[in-house]
Amino acid sequence: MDASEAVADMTIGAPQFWIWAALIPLLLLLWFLKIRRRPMTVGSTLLWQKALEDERVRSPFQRLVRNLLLLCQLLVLIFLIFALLRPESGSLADSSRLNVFLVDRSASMNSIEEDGRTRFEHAREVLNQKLDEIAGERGVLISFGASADALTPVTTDLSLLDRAADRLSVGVGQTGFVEALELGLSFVRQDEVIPAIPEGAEEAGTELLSNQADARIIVITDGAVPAWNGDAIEVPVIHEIVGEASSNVGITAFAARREFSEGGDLKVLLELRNTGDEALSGTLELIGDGELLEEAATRTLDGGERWLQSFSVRSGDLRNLEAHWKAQEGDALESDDRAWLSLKKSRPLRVLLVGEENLILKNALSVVDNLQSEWLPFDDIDPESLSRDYDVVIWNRQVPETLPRGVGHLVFDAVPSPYWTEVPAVVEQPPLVRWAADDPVLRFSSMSPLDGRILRTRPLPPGKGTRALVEVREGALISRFASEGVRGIVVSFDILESSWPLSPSFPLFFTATLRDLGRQSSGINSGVRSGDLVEARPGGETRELFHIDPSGVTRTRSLDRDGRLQWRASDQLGVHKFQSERSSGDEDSIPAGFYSLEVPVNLLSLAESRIEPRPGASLGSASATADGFSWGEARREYWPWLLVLGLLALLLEWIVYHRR
Amino acid sequence: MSEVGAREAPLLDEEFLARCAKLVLFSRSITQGRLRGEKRSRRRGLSTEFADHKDYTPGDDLRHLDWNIFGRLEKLFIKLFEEEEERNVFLLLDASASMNEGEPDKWRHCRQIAAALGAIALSAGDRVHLRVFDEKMRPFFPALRGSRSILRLIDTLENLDPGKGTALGRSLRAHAASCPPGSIQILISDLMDPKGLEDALRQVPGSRGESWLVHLLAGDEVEPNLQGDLRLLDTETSEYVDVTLTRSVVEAYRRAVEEFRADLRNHCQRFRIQPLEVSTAIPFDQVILEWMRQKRWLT
Repeated sequence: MDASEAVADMTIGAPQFWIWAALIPLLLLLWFLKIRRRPMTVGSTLLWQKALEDERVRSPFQRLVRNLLLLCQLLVLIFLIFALLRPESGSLADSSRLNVFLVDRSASMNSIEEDGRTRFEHAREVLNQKLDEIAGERGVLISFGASADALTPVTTDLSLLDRAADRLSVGVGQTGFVEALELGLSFVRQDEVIPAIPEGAEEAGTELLSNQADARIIVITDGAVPAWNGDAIEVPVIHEIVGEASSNVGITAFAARREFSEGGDLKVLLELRNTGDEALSGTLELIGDGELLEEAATRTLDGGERWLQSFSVRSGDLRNLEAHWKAQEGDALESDDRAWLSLKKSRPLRVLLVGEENLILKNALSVVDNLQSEWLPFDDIDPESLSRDYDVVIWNRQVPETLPRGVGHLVFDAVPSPYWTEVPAVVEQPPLVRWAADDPVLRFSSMSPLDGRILRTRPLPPGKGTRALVEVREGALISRFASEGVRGIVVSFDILESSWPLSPSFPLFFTATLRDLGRQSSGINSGVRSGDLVEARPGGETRELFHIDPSGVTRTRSLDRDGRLQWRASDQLGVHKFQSERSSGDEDSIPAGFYSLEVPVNLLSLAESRIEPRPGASLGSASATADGFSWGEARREYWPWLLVLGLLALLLEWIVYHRR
Repeated sequence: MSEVGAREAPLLDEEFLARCAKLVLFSRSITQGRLRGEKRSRRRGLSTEFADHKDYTPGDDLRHLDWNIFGRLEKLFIKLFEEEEERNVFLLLDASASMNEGEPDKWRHCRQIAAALGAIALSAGDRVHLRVFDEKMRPFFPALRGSRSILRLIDTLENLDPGKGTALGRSLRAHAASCPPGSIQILISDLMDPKGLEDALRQVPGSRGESWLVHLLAGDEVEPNLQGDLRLLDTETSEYVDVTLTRSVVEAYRRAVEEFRADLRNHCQRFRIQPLEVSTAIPFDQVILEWMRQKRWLT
């Protein structure tokens, strides 16, 4: 292609920068405004007129030469504007091949290979080899782990790709291959050239030639990538599979829930998988705040075996739980050998007991963990302050006409209005019909101790905004009610006239009810995965939070204008703490308004724990051959030359200015 | 003698005047035309000198009959005497406004040259006519004669003021009408007349005697020392020229000066005028004592 053809085929890569052309008339305006000629009296202008005429005759461009500075400045501006416009030439025929590199940096790439290097290091070596092979072509580098990121623009500058490759590091996230492939395809499709439609082609039904760009996608991965279910891929996708190790046992699930049992109030569940083919032995430790909680469980897992292990522990003041699988040997991936949970200690539940003194209720309140209770006679209560001072109010035999909002109500042997307006008839020793075992307050307690063992009760009929939890034939023994900000549970009998307090189900019901009405959460945070978004809203006047990562490094993170911190979980596994003070100090000296959020970042991914080499993603009908590529001339970009010309014009302007 | 001095200083000092007294305006045309062979006396009382005899013809002045020859030969001869003529030297000064511009001072330079030439002429017994013009010829000054008029001439020159515009042709036409043949006409001017040179120079042709032209330009008119973007205002016409002083424009100006001078020389050749191009950058005494002697205007 000669120069004229190149100019004819020249296209503008960034036409939005034409806007800068407005600077040219501005420069001219400024230039002409700038010229203020100094008046000077001379004897005669006769010779000057002759000189100027002579100058005009000698040089047709005298005016321009006279304004050489202006000319230089215009040239500088024009060259810079054209450089910004990114003119380029070259058509489909002479565009160089586009190589889209997708590099896997997911957790499985941390696997240690036989040579002691990680799988990711092997991947980077392959990437560097491939970069050396594409001299003269164009490339773009995309990494994918928890998210897919384009690390470079499409460029012919291999050094740029090399530098991006050197900066690349492995993560602990899942494999966002689909997102990465979509990103890579977007680069390929931006590269397509829309062919001109020949005249009459539409009428003649002529099939248009493919406008497919000369490109290929090179995926450097260990093959543990999800399948592609998107559109057909129009360019070849080449898999460069790295890694051979396959032995791995990983923790794939780690959960806990508060549950009352003889062993404690916290039940911990763990799932481990041997994703390899060979048996692996090791021990599983459960660690609470850095101390071993349970005796380590030793186990040999056969290839493909799944191991479910549960622990019951007393949570006490525990803040963090860590599960650690210590393989004796042969475990190639360490990232999935540890997992964390955080246990947030809840604020004590504030409960007010109103009405006649009731020894049973007082005793029941005294055994509930993490609770502060008070007693007041019915006549002494201030309904307006209840919601401010208490989470739950227990009404014993008496209820006010209007229950205050913003607080949970547990009513014993009374009929709260307006849910029930009439006092039902008394029924003696009614048999149970059913109870709602799915309700959170009854999930762990059996109601069978109530069956026919209540001396007297006034079963409540169904009402608007009510739900029967425990029913007898005449109505509900226990009901929920909720409407217009008022919520509560009513027990329609005097517990002193039943044997229920003697049954274990009563304290379970009582505790669950108080927690339910007080909206006290379990405080167990099972964590997030790398790349997940975590949001913290400390409230109050807090403008920044201190982020303490698992290695103990503290960083300050500012909140946005809504008083919110959004943090994308990093590649550092473990418990990340966000708190409003640099140091939390002792629990006794926690300042008012102190905010704390603990976020465990776990892998917990069976897909990532499965590290055995695989052939790569299933891409449906997509081509996967590496052959059939044509080599062509690179698409020429002219902006560097224009920039150089602009600088030369600037230099010329400088010289002219100083010579004058 | 040096030109250095304040504007208020006398145009000529005594030392220079003494040196002028030894010089004479050298008129080629008059000397060659009369073929006398030697310089004529300027002494008073010896105004005529015998030259030759010629046959008497009726109508000749009988007072000039040579009675001695008639007594010896009885033939009538008339005695011919060489007439001693007073030369008229016309100093034509351009006093237009343009002569008052430029550095060093063109107007003072002009008057100094005129004073020096006038002093030389007066010292040699010539009759000196000072004629000053700008837009038109100013009223004639009385002709001066004798060394004693030198101071009067200088005084007159010192009190001259430059005028406004220039009308070389019209002014010199007024001079030409009253200029007797055989005179020495010395025109001192920058010749900056938009109407051109030809008409002006036609009025002072060398064919009628001796015509000298001192073309006087200021030093910064020959070699402009200007820079930047200027609006040059014409002091006579009030017209202006916008000019950006680039190197090429300055070069073009120099070429214009050269072409102007070349054009001037052509016209001078045509009208038998002897030109002398003088810049005010050159001290006027150097012009008088060296340049004019080299040019054989002075002996």
